[in-house]
Amino acid sequence: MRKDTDLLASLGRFSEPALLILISLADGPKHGYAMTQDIEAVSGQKLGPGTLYGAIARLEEKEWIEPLPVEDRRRPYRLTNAGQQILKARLESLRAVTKIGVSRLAEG
Amino acid sequence: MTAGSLLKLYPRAWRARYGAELLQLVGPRALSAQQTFDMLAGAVDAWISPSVRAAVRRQPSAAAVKGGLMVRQFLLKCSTSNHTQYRMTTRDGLISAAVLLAVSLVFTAAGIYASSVGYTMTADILKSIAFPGAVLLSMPFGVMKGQPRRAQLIVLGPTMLLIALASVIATRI
Repeated sequence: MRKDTDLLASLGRFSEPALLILISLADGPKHGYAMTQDIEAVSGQKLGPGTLYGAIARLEEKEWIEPLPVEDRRRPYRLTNAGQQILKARLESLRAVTKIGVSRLAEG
Repeated sequence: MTAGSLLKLYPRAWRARYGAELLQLVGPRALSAQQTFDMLAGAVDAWISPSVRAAVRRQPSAAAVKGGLMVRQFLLKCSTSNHTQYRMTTRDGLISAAVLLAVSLVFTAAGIYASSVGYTMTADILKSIAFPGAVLLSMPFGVMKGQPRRAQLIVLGPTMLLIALASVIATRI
């Protein structure tokens, strides 16, 4: 059985945008524009429209996010329970990798 | 170049699902070179990526609620029936088979009864539609389980009528 962290990596070049979207939705539903603004503020990366909706489609297909009814011509998305688990697992994995990297830098 | 013109390069189903959102995101202004390249790459991805195509199929746009498109949605979903949401369980299969058998028996019995009381043509019609009718009526319990009621009616209703019509014509020839 694949680990949750592997599942996110299975999105290929969309795995990083997908992770940023999951992080953006972790504090509540957002529509596309709010996501790009939040992601830019958090990571400094501005996702292009093709990349954003390519990642959103993949996350929807995996059922890690789900669309909500349209509000003012914008459709918000929210994290599903499965998406939360994937995000937690990925962040835990990144935390472990970061810890090792920082400790190795300190030793060197 | 604007997002509206680049959006024409995307598959129709993709545009129906995400087009309005994307236009709302980027607005009517001309795109930067980076955004243009990103949208071109996105168009290629939308055509060739199975997961993106599957997502678009699974999330119908508001327009796709209309009858004709619902039938197409159903057919597309049938072609991706390995998805867990539409996977037929053993229990569904058994119920479907039971409905098929029961409906076949009821139609055949009705045909035999009609024949015994002298309604020969009605008897022939009932007997000839017994099996295809039973197959159709068993579909909502099996292969069409989970589909919207309206989609089931759109597919099954006209097919049932066609079979009945064909039986009537066949008995009169």
